[in-house]
Amino acid sequence: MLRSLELVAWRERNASQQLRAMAMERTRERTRTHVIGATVGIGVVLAVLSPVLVSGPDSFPISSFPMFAHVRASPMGTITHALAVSADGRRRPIPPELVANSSSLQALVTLQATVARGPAALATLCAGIAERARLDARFAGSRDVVIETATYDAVAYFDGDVEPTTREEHVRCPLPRDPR
Amino acid sequence: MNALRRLSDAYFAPAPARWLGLVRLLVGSYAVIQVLRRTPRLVSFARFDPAGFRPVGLVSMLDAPLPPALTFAQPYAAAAVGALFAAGAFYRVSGPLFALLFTWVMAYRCSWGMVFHTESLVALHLGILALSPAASALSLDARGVSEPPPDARFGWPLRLLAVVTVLTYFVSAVSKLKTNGVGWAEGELLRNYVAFDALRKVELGAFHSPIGTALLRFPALFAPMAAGALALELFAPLALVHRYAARIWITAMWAFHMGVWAVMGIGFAYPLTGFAFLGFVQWLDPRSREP
Repeated sequence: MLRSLELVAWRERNASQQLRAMAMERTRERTRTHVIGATVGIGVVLAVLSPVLVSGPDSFPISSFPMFAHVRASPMGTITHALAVSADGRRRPIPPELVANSSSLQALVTLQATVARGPAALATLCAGIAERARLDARFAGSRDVVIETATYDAVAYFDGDVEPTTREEHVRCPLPRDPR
Repeated sequence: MNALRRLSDAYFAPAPARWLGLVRLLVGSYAVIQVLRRTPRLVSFARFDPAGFRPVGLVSMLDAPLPPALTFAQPYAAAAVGALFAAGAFYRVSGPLFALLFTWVMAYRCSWGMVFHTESLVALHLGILALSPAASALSLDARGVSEPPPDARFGWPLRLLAVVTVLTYFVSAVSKLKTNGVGWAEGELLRNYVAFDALRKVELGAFHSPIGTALLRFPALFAPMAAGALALELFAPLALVHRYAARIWITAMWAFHMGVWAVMGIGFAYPLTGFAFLGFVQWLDPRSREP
């Protein structure tokens, strides 16, 4: 009888110790979750807000998302583009995929950056564009590739006033004839 | 202290593991599709003039562009690891590795003079998911294992995804106000942006939206459009306050992006597909009782 009572008491002590251990484990888990969640949360929030708090160049993925934040008080806009020019002077835009890749924004910055790097870089880019355009049936009748910078009234442009107010040609290169 | 306690209780409220698993699966799949979709552009950098290399973000550790072989390989490597991420396989490794590779590949895309922002939120979301137990359910790692009970460790990542979503819009609004003040909401700036964007596309031989150019004839329309867009962005954090506010804001923001797509031909696929708002998943569930 005494041994049975001792056994019951031992089992109860054991069970209660196990329950305490489980509770402590749950508390440790809960604390761990809170520490990780709070640390990651505060870190990520500060990182995302950092462009608001500290000025700096745009970056990825942390950014101030300045896509529509630049000052554009007037409809006047300057474009650097590549054109295919035919013998009779007709000018046709060369699409972005023949300039850089399929992004028009990438094509624009590539052209602008090449203009800034000077005549040698322009000549190389012009020749590369011409080689790619040579294989494109849309430019079968074109004679030259021109890279130029032009200024337009962007609003008036879509009212029919499509001529630029200024135009500066940076480089001109021949479009090789397709030998076929 | 009361406010801090309420904030903590809301942030760490338990969520089912399957919600986090579902978000992992959807965001991961979306990211893999975006990598594959952009692969032609990503590999095109192999033929760019190295003088045009302007590294940003993680890629800033490079002094020069990657060799062509690595330029070609990186999107495919990212997509392969991304598939494991989405499937929740070997997640302890594939989680952080895909978040890193995706961020790297997209930062590389931004390292040629033009920083693109369409995948910024995706990269941030992948980073949060990588640091969470997002493969505890609906994953290959968890097959054959019964789903754990709802817990705070599955809840805070979802809340953080939602917080980051609204903060990116808030930061965008602050950018506009910092450079242009409240004058941005008057409409003239937006009209000039729409016109210049269309002009650029026409003169560079790319597609432009005829809807946007038609609207230029009606300047009065741009003030309410601009004011509405700015308000949606600036007050985005209010969507975190209550589930009804979240539902209204998400609907309005989706409509805003549809408008941008229609007027300017610029599609932000992540919010347009709804994936940007998956952090709100518990609040979007009509059965949710959370305030």
